Amino acid sequence: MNNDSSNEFNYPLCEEEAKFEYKLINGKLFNNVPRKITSTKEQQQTIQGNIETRQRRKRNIKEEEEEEEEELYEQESLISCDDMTLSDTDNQSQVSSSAHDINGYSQRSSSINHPPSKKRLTNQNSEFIGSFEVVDSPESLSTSTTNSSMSIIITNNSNITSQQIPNRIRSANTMNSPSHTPVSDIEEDIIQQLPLPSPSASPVQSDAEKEITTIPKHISISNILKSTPSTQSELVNMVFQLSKFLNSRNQNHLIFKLLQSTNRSSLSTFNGLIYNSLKRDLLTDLPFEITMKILMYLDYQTLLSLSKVCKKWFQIINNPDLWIRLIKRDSLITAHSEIKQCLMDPNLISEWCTLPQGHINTAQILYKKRTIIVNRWMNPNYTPKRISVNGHLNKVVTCLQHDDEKIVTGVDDKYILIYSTKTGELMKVLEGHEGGVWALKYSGNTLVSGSTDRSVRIWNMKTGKCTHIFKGHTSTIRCLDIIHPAIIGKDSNGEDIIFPEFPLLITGSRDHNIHVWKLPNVDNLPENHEIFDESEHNNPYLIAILQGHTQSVRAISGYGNIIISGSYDSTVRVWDLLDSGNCKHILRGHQDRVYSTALDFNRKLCYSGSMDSNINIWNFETGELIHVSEGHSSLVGLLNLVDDLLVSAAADSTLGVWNPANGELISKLKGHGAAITCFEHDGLRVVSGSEKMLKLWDIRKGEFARDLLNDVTGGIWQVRIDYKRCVAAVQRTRQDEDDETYIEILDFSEPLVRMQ
Amino acid sequence: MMSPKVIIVSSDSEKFPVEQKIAEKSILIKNMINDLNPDGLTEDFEIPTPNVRANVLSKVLEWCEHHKNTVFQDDEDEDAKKSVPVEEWDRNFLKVDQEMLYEIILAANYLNIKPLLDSGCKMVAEMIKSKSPEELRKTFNIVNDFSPEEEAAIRKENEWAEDR
Repeated sequence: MNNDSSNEFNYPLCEEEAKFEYKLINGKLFNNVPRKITSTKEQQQTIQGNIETRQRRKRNIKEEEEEEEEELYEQESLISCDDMTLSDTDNQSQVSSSAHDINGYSQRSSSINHPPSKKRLTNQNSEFIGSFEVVDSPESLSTSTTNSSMSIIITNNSNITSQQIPNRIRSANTMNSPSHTPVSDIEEDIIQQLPLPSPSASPVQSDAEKEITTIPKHISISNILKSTPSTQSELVNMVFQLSKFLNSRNQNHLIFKLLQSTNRSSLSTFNGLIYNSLKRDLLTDLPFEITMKILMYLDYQTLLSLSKVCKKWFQIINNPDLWIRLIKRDSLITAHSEIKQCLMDPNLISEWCTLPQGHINTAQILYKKRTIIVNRWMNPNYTPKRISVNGHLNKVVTCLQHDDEKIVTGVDDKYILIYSTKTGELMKVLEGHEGGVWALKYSGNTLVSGSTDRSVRIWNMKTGKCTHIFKGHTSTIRCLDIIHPAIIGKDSNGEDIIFPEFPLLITGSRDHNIHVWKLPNVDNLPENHEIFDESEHNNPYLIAILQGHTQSVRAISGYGNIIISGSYDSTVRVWDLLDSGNCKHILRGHQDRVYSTALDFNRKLCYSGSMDSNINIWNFETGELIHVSEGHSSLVGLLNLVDDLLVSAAADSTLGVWNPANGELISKLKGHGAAITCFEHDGLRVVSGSEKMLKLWDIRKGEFARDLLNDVTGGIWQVRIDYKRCVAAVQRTRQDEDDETYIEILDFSEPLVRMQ
Repeated sequence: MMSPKVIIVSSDSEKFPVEQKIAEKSILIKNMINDLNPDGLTEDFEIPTPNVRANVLSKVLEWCEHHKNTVFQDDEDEDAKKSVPVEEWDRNFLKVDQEMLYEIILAANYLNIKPLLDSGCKMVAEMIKSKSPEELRKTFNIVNDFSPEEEAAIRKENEWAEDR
């Protein structure tokens, strides 16, 4: 026990002699030789009256020894009682065990059925009372000298109710006369000058207490009583040693009586003492799973504070499972596969941990890295590493996708450009489209693009070559999506149903139609593959044409067997690929063109944003309109559903954060000066662009965090983010010259520990 | 006729007769009743709880009785649960010494009373929340066994999380 806490235990009873007693008990004072002792009312009176009458008491004990009934001596409980009063000098584990043993004792002593409704006792009181009940006996009822408050206790001993407890507690206090000596005086005064607390004021003892206890071979009561104590200290010692001859039940009884005859202020001290003795290292002592549960209620700052407490706690916190759960809980990374992948990063420890490898688990360091990076994003004073790349001239960047290696942009002048994410260097120019590129997406090395030239092109990004040209649409391809094989349910045998078998490409066009294609994998093509360029009728990749919309298809989302399309005809349509691509539902409800869609396959919900300023939430299974989220005042052009949060961006220059389950508005992000042109969110951050502004919002707080670029003079065409980077295509206006489009790369992931 | 009671017997052989509805706040007991009495209770049914002593059991049953009619959300949603603070009655109910809190948590875990376990764990979390390491040592009677060098190294490693 450290010094700080021992200050709280500073109590006169717990000094050196007491320590000595403790050792004696644990050592050889007791060794299970059965002997009998008793204490009677008569003895108590002799103690109260006159020290010299002790000799008589000694005689009484001897005389009555043989008459008592047997009961096993409970050595452990005895020791525990000592521990409790000695807790300041003792170590943690002993304190804990003492508390246990006391409880263990009271279990054994309690014999009355308590209906729970009648139990309104505090723990400590009920234990004392429990022990008290048992030792009371009919004999005590007849004792005429018992004071009134005591008789209440005794007469009710077999049927305690909640109302009687206050009486009992009060009786303990009222029994104290003002003349009672405070315990702290014991050491100094000699015995004759000190009136001890009066035993006669205590509950009357009875036959029930007459029990056999084990007494050490070489120490007997008579030995102890041989010498007459000459100081308070010696007397305390003697009484204490004598108390060892009581069995545990009666020892508790004795403690209870002593407490009853203790004044309020001393009781208060005891109360603190007992309270502190019942302290426990809960995190270490509770089963692991419960400790984990507790820790999951805490924030990372508290958890790191815990790891500074002691070595044991350091190890409790240093648990990879805990930190993996926290990474998910705090939305730092939500996909388990991604967490696993990040944990393999060989530079994680060396770049982000100040301690040598092996001291702290990698998951904890991953949490640290990701949180530091999030905090940097949100901190307006942190300046990320920035790369600005020009080279688009004054073209509109219509689409942008990036990863750790490359940034792919589609431009309205028919080119697709690929830049290095790390250096900003232009790596490849994909040429082939004859019109502006308006839709683009890649998966692995396979890039697909849709253009105003009515064609869909497939590209190998590694070689920069076009591998396939898909024809069939009769107007501009305005939107596309890739559907990857996914688990869509279970069959009758409980096996996962996976659909589609291979990745699909879906394209929506101004020609009102949606085409479904098998997505070629460019990695599987032979070296000498010649560009595939066949007419619609000879195209084995074309799987289905979904017809029904009566105007341009503006937005499309797919997952598993379900395709959701939004059209300028004001409807949203649900298509089921398992049902040969038939239109499952026509969702009617919008009053104007539909510009954006999102799909939550597991919830069976889909979302659509429209020119009528509403976001509609639909059940795509039943076709039912679940909710109309009103909150924007003009065109809702963009929707993004990630990690259980739906974010919308509108021409009214605001963004909305919505609960996707019920369409409730969680927060409204206001601050842009013009229509939002682009945005992305990842559950933690929203980055949004409008004329001259690129803003970051803290989703968890629902508020503006910072401006990411302060020197934009034109529009923001596109923005995409990952956990450490923001990539934006921005327009700069220049005096006397043409405007120019730049790619801006902001990197927040500079390692914490600089490599030597 | 009185409906049959469930008699829960503590580790120290104390018997607690309670209404079936109250006893069934414990999923362990509920399952035991259902498994052994598929047609419902016809007479008093005794269930031993060998891990729970009378004092703790009476406390736990007090909680069960108070929450006799409380409908607890079957929250699969871990996130939603986290943000909910401990209910006022539970908070007062669990204002006990650490030993009792410890035993209540263990009992709630053993008896499978999830809402009580949740409240107990949250109370411990609240005891821990926003305390310095020194305050934590005091709260739980723990000795600092780090050397000054180790302490400094850990402080440096955790520096990033401070002053926010």
